[in-house]
Amino acid sequence: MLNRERCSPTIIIERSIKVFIILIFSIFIEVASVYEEGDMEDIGTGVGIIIGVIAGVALLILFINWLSWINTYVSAVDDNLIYESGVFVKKKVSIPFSKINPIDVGRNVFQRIVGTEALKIDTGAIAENTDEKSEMGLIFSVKRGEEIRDYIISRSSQDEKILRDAGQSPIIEHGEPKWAIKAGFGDFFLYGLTSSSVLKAFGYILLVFTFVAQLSDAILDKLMDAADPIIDSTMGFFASHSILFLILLAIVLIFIFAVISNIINILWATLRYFNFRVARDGDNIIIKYGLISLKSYTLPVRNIHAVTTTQNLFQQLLKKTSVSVTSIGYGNEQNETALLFPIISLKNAGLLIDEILPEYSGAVELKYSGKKGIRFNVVVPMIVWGVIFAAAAVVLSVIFENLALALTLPIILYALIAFGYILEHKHTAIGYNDRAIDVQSGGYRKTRTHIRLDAVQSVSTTAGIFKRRRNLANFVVAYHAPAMQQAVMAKSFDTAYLEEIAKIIEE
Amino acid sequence: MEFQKVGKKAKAKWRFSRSIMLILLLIPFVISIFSYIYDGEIGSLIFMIVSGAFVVFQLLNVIVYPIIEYIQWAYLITDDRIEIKKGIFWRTHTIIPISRVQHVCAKQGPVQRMFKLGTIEIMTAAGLHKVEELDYETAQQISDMLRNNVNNKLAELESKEQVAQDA
Repeated sequence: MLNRERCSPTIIIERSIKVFIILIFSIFIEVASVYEEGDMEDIGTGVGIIIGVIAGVALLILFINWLSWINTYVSAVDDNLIYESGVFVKKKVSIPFSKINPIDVGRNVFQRIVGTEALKIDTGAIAENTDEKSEMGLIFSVKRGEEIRDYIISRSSQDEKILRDAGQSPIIEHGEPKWAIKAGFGDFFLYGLTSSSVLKAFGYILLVFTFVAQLSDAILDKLMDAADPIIDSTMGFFASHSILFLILLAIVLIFIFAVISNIINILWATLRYFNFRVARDGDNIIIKYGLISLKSYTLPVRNIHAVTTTQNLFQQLLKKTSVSVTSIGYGNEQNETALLFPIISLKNAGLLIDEILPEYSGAVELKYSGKKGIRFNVVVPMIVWGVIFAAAAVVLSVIFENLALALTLPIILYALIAFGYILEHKHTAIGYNDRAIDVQSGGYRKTRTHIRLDAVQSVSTTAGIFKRRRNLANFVVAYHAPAMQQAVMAKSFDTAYLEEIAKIIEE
Repeated sequence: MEFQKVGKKAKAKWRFSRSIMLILLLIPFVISIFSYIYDGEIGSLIFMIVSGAFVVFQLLNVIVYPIIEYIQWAYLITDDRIEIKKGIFWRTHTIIPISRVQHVCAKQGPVQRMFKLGTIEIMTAAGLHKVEELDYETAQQISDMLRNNVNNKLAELESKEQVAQDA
């Protein structure tokens, strides 16, 4: 049962802390800059004022969040979940249980300390041109949260609806489901090792540097002063060694950097995906994981429209893949992916799908772009890149007056891009049968999307004049998915496939 | 069934609406010419070349592209599907099964109203498709026809499902 009730009062403190931390942080930066400029002669008075301001702001934030909490209710009326909110402008959202999509359960560190959990309920609705989200965030004690979650799942289940229609009372089962598969340390190790990104690590370093620069100009100046002799000696070092030696040194340094970022990545993967487990429970897929922040989400199978396997270059070499699903109501936010398993061998991925998503099992035979498409997928783009890099090499040789140096970087980049195009051409494929359409694409990052046929909304081809002459076109399959992933593309395929695909979708 | 062309006044409408943009682009181009004549600096010359390039592209957009678009744009509506062909250099051919249409809407903007043209918007769960610059009356008729087709198709599918369930 779900009578009209409020969330746990701990939500007031939790939300206040979040706002407060941001506020304190900005005040701290402001104070640091004022202090450096020497405007604050009487430090004692200044600190007193700051503490007073902070205390006042904290009380105000607490009061606003208390007002929000006291006016927020959730209840179940007939076949709808009712969510009431708003202090001055009252809002009442009514969602039919049958329209509720994934229920995402999370527990961050604060919630683990105070014994609560966050329930994110999603309808999957997309309000065009507005900032309104289809999600509602509720916080309850763990026990109450589980009861509400089970209640909503049972009310939204098709089986339960049949029982209710037949006048029988539904059976709500509690407890852990039978887990189909659990991830071990080996999986985290491989995931961390293969999903490492050197560029990401560079990004984090840049972020830290920007943060320091924001915090204090004085600290930045000192850092720059300290860096000056290092820069000078580095330039001297470059001048006194050969190009070949410098290239080898750069490769070694990149390797060391990659190893360090891999280690960090493995630790991050272990913390994030610790005890990752997945199970099929009636009409739903249940996924749980986490060490510090716990996460659990329930995906109704009827809302899963596609299964995607993604492999970066390392994972392609090791024949491993990560498996995710496209589910309505999940994936509307940036970085929100309904991961079915972080890393698994290709063979076991098939077995996993067979066990927990038999609706998606069964192979679809892929058709490859082949020799006909190689001209457009590899040769033409490489000619274009060749012209660009040749021009770049000419400019560099004029600037540096050193042909070897001017050629090295463009040649390395050109080779990497060429390899990417060749891989992409090798992977690009499309396949279909009476149950699904498969689209495979990507070079260094290979993805295969297995789309349920009734989720496919349209199919398009796009071709320039040269492709049209050879009856080739790029295929775009648009399917019912969250806003950020609505279409997949396969390049340079025979246009005859368009009619075949259109016919099977219509049927 | 054969593909249908867009409205006969489509070319005139495209030319009219794009001419407005052409006038806006001509302003900086004329200013840059006078500026170059006045100061003769390299900056003014670059500005003149860039704004001139935009004017040339827009001239193509006003004079040449409407002819190509009129020849290449086409649509086909049957009981089972909607097909739309679009594009100038890169041609797109889209097929939408009738059963996937969520709703249909006939629209008319102020410039389209001047030329008695309209657009049909076809919404699916994966996005919006448009058949643009049709005679407005035709657009309304097609919109009504599509609604009927969608309802008929859905009824047909539901009865098929019912038969399958009963079996």
